[in-house]
Amino acid sequence: MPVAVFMGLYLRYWRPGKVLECSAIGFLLVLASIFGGRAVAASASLAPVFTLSAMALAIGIIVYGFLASALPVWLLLAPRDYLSTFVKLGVVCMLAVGILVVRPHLQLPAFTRFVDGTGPIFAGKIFPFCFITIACGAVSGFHSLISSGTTPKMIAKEWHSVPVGYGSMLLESFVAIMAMIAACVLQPGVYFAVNSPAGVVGASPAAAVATISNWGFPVTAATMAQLASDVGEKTLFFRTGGAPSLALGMAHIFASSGGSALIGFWYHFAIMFEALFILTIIDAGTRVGRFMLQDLLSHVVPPLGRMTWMPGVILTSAMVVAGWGYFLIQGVRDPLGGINSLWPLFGISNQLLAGIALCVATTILLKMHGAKFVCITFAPLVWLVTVTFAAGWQKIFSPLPAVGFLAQAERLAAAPATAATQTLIFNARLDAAVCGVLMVLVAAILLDSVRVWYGILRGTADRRVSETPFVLSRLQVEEL
Amino acid sequence: MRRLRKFGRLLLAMLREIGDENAYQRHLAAHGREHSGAEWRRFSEERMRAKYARAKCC
Repeated sequence: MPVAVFMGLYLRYWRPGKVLECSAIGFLLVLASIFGGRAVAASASLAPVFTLSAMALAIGIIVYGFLASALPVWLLLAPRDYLSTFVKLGVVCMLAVGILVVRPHLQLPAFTRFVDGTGPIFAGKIFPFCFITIACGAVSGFHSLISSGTTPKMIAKEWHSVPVGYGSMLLESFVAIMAMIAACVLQPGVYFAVNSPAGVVGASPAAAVATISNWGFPVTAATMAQLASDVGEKTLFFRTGGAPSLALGMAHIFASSGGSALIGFWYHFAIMFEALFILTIIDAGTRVGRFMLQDLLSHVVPPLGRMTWMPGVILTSAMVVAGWGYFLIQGVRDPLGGINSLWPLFGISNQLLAGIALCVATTILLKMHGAKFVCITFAPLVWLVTVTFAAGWQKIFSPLPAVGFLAQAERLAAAPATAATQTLIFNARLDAAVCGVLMVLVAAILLDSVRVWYGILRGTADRRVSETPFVLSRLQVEEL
Repeated sequence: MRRLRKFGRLLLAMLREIGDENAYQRHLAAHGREHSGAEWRRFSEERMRAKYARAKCC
């Protein structure tokens, strides 16, 4: 982030127009910070300053989201996203070449005993939960709303959206395939030891390796300790969320293709690579959310609609940040790990949002061409609605505590009351409520869309397609 | 070595094109102006306005 701010100021005030020069400096500074990170981690005085608790990190992310939304876009968000693009593309290319060179053997079997829905990392049967995923290359509500941080820069004409949009989907899918390869090159025992929460496999390393080995995936505490030491971590147990295991897999591939002495560097490089994706969701998502909220609230308080009115910017940024920040804090407090409660909701809400986008697209296609092309969006909509509503229903009402939020809360309520169980019960009930509200909202839009489609096909509804005419922005470059 | 230098020059030219630096040089030459911070902002704004004013067609 300091590098991004430096680049923003560099291009704005110090050397305007020197894009290549600034890019090269920014890239070198990022590399230097990764190499320097090892020295910081080894320093007795600096390491404690940068070793933050989960709560401190969550607050840091919330503050970052607020700053990225409220500060001028050229100062933080744009250079951060711009710099990230190079890192992302570079890592994707390197990973592709690494996989081709190493041709790693996939260690995870195609199916494990957990296809019955009793998985320690994510409980639930293959249908529908295999399809509840954050797969930006396949379908994503987030991207249907805001495309990507750099899409507006690439699209000068309407038809450009075809190659840019489809190309983005292919590249995202390419990344997803390589991420799966990277995760699957790990020993299954190591994979489960890294990703399983302590509440499932046991709170101590000895208990965790015993549980996982009993499942038929042998792993030893010594192996885990050696791995942690190799990559410069204190422990790799209970590192839920997927990022550390993916980073381990990527580091393994990079190290195997030459430079095994640098496995710690590659591991932290991969962690940073993954963090860049999360930062994009946080900063671009918050800023777009702020714009939408300003637009909505301007119907009640007109000054809030002015994008350059700082009190409005600060207020709406704070409101959007508080919206997602609350769930982040709740996730951090969750004794089973935040990913346990946040990930299913993230997947379900993202796909419900995609369902809304497909409803809108289906309506437009029906209005423009009748039923001729409607299957292009209607068929994926039917699949998406079926999968997402089935998953949402199961997450709320399944009688299995490992799957259903309400069943989980009920089981915990029967156990002795402690602070941890109270937090878990609250989180489970909150998740059930949020999931239910999202499903009701999407069902309402879906039903209304069906009503409109029926009218269009019968000829009783208006088929005119209206488009807001082009209005030149009143913003000056200085205000953007 | 000569080929490597040629490839390097090509790569640099491509990067300059992607980074809008070549377009900016053409803008300066076309208008007979000198580089300055204000001129770069004017160039950026003109490009953005031109882009969105004809978003629908070729």
